[in-house]
This record gives sequence, structure tokens and C-alpha cells, in this order.
Amino acid sequence: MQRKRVGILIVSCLLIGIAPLVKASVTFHSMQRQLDTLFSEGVNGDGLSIAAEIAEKQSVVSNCITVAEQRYRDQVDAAVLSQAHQAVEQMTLAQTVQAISQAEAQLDQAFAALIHQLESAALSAQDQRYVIGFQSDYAAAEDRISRDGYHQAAQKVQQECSGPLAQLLMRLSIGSLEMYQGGEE
Amino acid sequence: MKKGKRCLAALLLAVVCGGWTSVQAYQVPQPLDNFYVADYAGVISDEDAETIRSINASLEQRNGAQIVVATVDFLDGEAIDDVAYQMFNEWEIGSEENLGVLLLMAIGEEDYYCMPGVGLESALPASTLQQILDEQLEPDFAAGNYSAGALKTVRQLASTVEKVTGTPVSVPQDPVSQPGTSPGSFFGSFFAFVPSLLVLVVVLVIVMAVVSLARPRRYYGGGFRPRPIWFRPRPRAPRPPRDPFGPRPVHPAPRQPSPRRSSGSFASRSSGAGRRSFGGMNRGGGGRTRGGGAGRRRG
Repeated sequence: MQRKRVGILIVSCLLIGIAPLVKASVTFHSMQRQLDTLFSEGVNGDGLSIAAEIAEKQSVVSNCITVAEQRYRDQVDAAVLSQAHQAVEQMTLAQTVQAISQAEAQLDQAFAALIHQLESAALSAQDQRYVIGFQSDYAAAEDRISRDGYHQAAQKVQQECSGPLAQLLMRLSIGSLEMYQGGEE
Repeated sequence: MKKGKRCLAALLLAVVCGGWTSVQAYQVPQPLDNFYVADYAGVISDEDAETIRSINASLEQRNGAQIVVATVDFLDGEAIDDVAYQMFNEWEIGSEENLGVLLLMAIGEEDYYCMPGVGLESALPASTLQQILDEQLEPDFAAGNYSAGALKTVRQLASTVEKVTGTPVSVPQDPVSQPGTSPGSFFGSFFAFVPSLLVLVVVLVIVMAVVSLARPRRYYGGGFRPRPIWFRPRPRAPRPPRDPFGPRPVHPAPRQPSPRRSSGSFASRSSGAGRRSFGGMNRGGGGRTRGGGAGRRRG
């Protein structure tokens, strides 16, 4: 009889100890899903999202590479072109938010270097308009990323998870939340 | 006593800090009577302001698009794209479809910025906006002809919106730039009509073919094709016995006196309250922007 009581007590303690962890894990996974949805679908779920703007940036860099390779290959450094190609490929392969953030940083560097080279080249009038257009579209996409509602949502989540107990539960359950860090104002 | 002094000092510090932070944000001015030309810097002529208003009235009537020009002297240290973003969303430029454009000119800072609404992001990307600004606004802006530059830019923007939304807009042209009638215009219109006629003929042929196929056909064995199973007739309910006196007239129920209405309700019915109104709203239509415009290029 005493063994039974001890057994029930042990099981109860285990349940009481594990339940918060399970609850925390479910909560943190749900937060991560919500953030991922905001990142890929946008605040209003209409596809106007950070992911879409990053894809737009990738498209601009691809077009820029096309102009540089087709008409100004001798005036643009081969290493810069290669860096741009790699950045675009890296972005295509990136699947997680963290990988996309890293690939985006590489893309920004590659684009800046390529545009700098093109601006120094002897561009035709049409290509000059293209280059100006690339810079405008790239800057516009970055502007929209910086103003996206995702950042506010992510900040709110960070505040909610900033307490020591929340941090401990997070470490024990999900590890850490993956958030997009780039483009914040 | 010491505790009281500390509390007072903390309170004073909080008040000072609160006051400091409250004056830093840029205060977006309110729209003016002419919503489409908010000329706080006083650089747009009355004639050009009226032309911009009439362009917008026409544009808004077709598809709810709004092109607003705002001029200010300075931005109080804020970035022009931030001010444009704030202004656009506070004034709710454009319709609920977010077909709005804001052209903000900061005269004292020699800068300008053009921002599209969400609904025009793909139709008016930053590269197109930049090209319009470089060609239409920059030459006049650099020369100090702000009014002329703004008008040319609005005309070009209205023309571009017309092309991408497919609605014709009557853009008042300059008297100098009126195109003359060309002798080939009659033949041009005739040859433009021919493709439509061909399409009509093809559609007629298709319709006749479908109609003829739908007619029931005779088969070799005589008679008609048996009906498919899913046309099985439904069982009918038995008919009620006939009244020997015939159908009787049905007297309508006595009319109840309608409740007396106040004159206000009739007025509200005819005023169009709650009805979506285009054609010169002279106020924001609920549009918003996500940013991503184009501005003055330096260097």
C-alpha cells in the first residue's frame, strides 16, 4: 500500500514536471509557425511579404548580371560576376529563415559590388536607364522589407520570451526561435 | 525628507524625458481643401493646382486612383521617404484597391520622393517611377519651376496609370503639344475594325456548331436516341379535386398604415451615405502603402 502511494506520488511529480515543458514546446512551435507564415505570406496573408521582396531582390540581381555579362563583360571584374552568380544560387538554395538571411546579406554585397562596376563602365543610354532602374527597384524592395509588419510581430514575440523562465523553457523545448534579422529600420 | 527629494527628482526627470521624446516625431500636416494639392510651401500655381484636381477627378471616377502632390519646406530632420510613408498612410491616399500615388516635394531641402500605393506596386515599380521623375520632374525642379514640374509628373503618372489599369483618362494637354489630325487616321480605324469582325464571325460559327450538335438526332433504327437514365421523370403528387365553383379571387390583406418617416431618412437615402463615391471625393479613399518609392538621385 505504501509502495502504491509512493508510486502515485512519483508519477504525479513527473507529470507536473513534464506538463509545463510539453505546453511550452507546443507554444513555442506555434509561435515559430506564426512567424514563418508572416515571413512567407505577409501580415495580411496576401503574399506581400518579406520573402516576396527578397525574391524581387534576387530577380533584380539576376537581371543586372545579364546586362553585365552580355554587354560589359570586359569592363566588369570576373570575380565580381562570379560572386553575384554565387549569391543568386545561394539564395535559391536557402530554405530556412536563417539561411535566407545569410544569403540575403551575400546578395546585398554582391549587388553593391556589381552596380559599382557597372556605374564605372561606359554604358549605353538604355543600359544606364536599366542600371538606375535596378538600383531603384532594389532600394524599394529593401524599403518595403524594413517597413514590414513582421518586425513588430517578431519584437513582440521576443519581449514575451525575454523572461528567465521563458528562456529556460525555450532552451529545454525548442532551443531557440528562428527570426528574420535583416532589413529592420 | 531625502526620499521625498529623490522621488521629486525622478518625477521631474521623467517629465523632461517624456517631453523630449514627444517633440521628436514629425507631425504630418492635415490635407487641405484641395486634397490632391497640399501646397504648404506655396510653390504650386492656382491654375496648375486646378488642372491636377481635374485630372484626379477624372481618374478617380474611372478606377478610384488618386495622385496627390504635397509640398513642404522642411522635414525637421526626418528622412523624406519616412515622411512620405507616414503621410500616405495617414491621408489614406487612393481607393480601397490602394491605387494611390504621393509626390512629396521638400522645397527647402531640395528633395522629392514619389511613393505608390500597394495596388500600384507592380504597375508602377520604383524603376518606372524613377524614370518618370528623372524625365518629367528633375529638369524643372532643378530650375526652380516646381509647379510646372509637378504638373508634368502628374500628367505622366495619370497616363501610366491609365495604361496599366486599362481605363481611358482625359488628361488635359498643353495647348502647344496638341497632336494634329493625320490623313491616315480613317484608314487606320478601318483596319483596326477588321480583326474585331473576324473574331465575331468565328464566334458565330462556333455558336452555330454548338447549337446544331445539341439538337436531338435520328438513328438508323428510326425514332430518337433513348433518354439517358438521369432524365427519369419524377413521380408527381396526385392532383387535388377540382372546385366546382372555379378559382375564387384572393382579397389582399388590409394595408397597415406605414410608420411616419422623418425628413432626415429621405435625405440620407438620397445623399448616398455609405455608397462608394468616386468622381472628386477630395479626400483619402482608404488606400495604404508599404513603402518602396523613388526619389531624387544625388550625384
